[in-house]
Amino acid sequence: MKKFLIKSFLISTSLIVLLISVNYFIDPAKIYDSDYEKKISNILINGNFVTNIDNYDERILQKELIHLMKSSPEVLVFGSSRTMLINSSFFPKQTFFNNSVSGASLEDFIALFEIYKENNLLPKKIVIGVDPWLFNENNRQVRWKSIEYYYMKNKGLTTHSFPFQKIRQLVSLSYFQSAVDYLPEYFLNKTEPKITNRTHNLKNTKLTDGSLVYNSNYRNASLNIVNSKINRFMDDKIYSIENFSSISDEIWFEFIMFVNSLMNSNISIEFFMSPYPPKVYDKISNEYPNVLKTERLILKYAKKNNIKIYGSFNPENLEFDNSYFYDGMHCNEKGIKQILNN
Amino acid sequence: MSFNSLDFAIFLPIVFLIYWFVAQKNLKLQNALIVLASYVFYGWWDWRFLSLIIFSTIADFLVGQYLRTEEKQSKRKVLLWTSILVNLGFLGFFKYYNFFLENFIDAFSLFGMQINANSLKIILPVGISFYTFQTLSYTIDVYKKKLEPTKDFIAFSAFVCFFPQLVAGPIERATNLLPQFYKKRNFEYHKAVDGMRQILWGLFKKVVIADNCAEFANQIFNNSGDMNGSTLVIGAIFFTFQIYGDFSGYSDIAIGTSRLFGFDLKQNFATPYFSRDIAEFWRCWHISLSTWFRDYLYIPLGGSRGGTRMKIRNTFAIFLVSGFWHGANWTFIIWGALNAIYFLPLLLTNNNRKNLGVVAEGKLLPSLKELFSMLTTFVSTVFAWIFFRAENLSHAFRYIEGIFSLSILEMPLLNNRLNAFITLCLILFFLMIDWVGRNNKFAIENVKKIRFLTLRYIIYLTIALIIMFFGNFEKNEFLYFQF
Repeated sequence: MKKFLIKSFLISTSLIVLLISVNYFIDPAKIYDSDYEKKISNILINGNFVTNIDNYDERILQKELIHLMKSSPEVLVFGSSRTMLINSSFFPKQTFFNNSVSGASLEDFIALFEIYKENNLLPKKIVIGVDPWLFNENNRQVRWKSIEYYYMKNKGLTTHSFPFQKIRQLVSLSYFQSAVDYLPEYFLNKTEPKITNRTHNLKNTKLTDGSLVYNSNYRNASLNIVNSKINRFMDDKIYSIENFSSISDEIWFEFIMFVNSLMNSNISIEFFMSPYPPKVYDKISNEYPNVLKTERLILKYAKKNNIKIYGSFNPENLEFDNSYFYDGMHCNEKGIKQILNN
Repeated sequence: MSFNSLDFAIFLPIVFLIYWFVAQKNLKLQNALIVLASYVFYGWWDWRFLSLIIFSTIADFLVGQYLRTEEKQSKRKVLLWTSILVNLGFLGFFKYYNFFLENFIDAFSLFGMQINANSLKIILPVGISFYTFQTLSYTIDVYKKKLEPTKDFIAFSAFVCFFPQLVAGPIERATNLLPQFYKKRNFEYHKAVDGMRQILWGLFKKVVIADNCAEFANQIFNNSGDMNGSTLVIGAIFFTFQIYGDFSGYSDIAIGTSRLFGFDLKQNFATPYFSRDIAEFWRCWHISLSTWFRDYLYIPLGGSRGGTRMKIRNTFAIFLVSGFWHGANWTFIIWGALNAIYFLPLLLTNNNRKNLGVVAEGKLLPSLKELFSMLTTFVSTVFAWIFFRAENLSHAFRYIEGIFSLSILEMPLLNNRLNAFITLCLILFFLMIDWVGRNNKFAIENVKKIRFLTLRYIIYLTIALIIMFFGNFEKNEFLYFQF
């Protein structure tokens, strides 16, 4: 027994040490490099665009940015990757900042607003990107935990949360594979954020208004490639709504409370509903009826409270075909422009 | 919890240490620990369905107790049928209720009769087809007086819910597994190392072969209408290796894990894709299920003892039921029927037991004749798997129609050619190792015979690193959980 345990321990320990070291030191998503988001936020606050920024904690970046702001932008966007392309040109003569974070959930919005509040920065208007998964309690979105402290503070609670996600990522084999793929860039030091004065670059570019311009490959993909991306997207369960068995009353109530509290603070609210490509929407209509229910609920609530709505989940309402999309769930610049200008 | 999850990686060593260090001196305590660990393991998915296992366990234990004292044949029969009805009742309700309802409605509508009945939203309890068959084997064997009914409820519970094989087999016979719970188990170094070796190989099959093949198989099957013939062929081949890697990988991990706890489970796969005919294939594929059907269905129906008509009837019965066991869908039934059609000519010409030994035994490579037989069997199997994987029958027929079109001459359309190429290389590596180890219970069993310790460790580390570098670690459940 002793021999077996020693051998098993030695072999598994050596593999785990290899795994943890690669994940920690190569760190392709900059989970353990806390300075990375600070570097990006300093570049942006100093009035420069920043490119070469593939992987970082978007929530931490937003936190750093808000802390560095001297005055509040008049218009804010709270949303997910589906609202990241909204930029200041759609809100002329107003100061503007886009705080969208990938896979946003309601907790993100509440936490972000709390950070603004903590810094005595209150906007005049907030455009909220309403994604269907916001109301799905099984959406598996946990990334908001990076700014959990602010969410809990908003609720009058304190948190001493243990960084489970960070620790879990240390032993993640898929993170290990990303790290191995990332090795050449790591050793050639190609991972540092770069200042640029161009909005459209080879890599993703964050603009000073917080909006994003995607990398050239993604941006310039042909319609054929977009079509195949949409097909592939449909092969899997639809992002974050796979177990959307019902609209969570609890989340819906929290959402209404949040929006009402903003309106009570004299902040004007607008909703942005990003569409899905036609084929994806058909699948959603057939297999995820709660998405349609969500849309109806939002429309009803918005009408009752006089809230302006941009867009719709249904591309038919906007007369969108696949040429308005980058992939199975993201509108391209043309699409965003059409939605906001109508 | 799933074998390929972090949860299981934490769960297993904890149970192992308690089992050998805390509970070692007391057999009852060890068995009780197995029951507890198995319930935690199963409850990780959905604790509500534990009640089904517990109910099944109590029912079959009681039936066993009554069968011990009951001598009257008619009463013994009633007891047997009670057990069969309880177990198949659960299985029928949870797995087949909606299928029968929908088919009855369709059948009546053919005669112009409209029936209004709503299907139920029923969640299929994980592993229900496996543990019900396992407990049934107990009552049937006790009824036939092949097995003495147990008085030890804890041992019986442990036999029903033994966590390594609870959710996807191998389906163990009470005659093999139950007595192992009565005997004192001592830790055996070589058995445990053998278990670890088999777990390693099972993980390789699951996360490297099955899950990488699944990426392409899903992509191609889900968009088969837009794919050309050559891509569809590749899709079917990828699925062929997905299902083999997935299920045999599970069996390897289950058998390996059992060995860590001192148990020996039956071999469930014996390199089936090297079979020279379909009869050999079915002796090598999901052996525990095939033999279950042979012993509890085929032989009681008369087996191959009767005339030609009886042979045909029994062969179709066993294959159709086997297909239906996999799922409540006509695709599985057609898959079973297709295999019966492949099998019948061999049975009727008395050639079904021609290839009993290992192919090309003692040789490095097969002869041309053997290679040809293996390839034709493999192609027939790939063809049948199309029905198994398709969403419904029309999907399967459209898929096959797509293959037999001129577009089969076009270049395959694959989204990520580099990954597809890497996956094909990994399949070749897997086949090579499987070929070299075709004499063994699992492919890398013979590594233990290598005298040089360093070389042995180099092999283990290479496999571990291949898993780390090339494994697919998205959350992929084992395919057979759904059956």
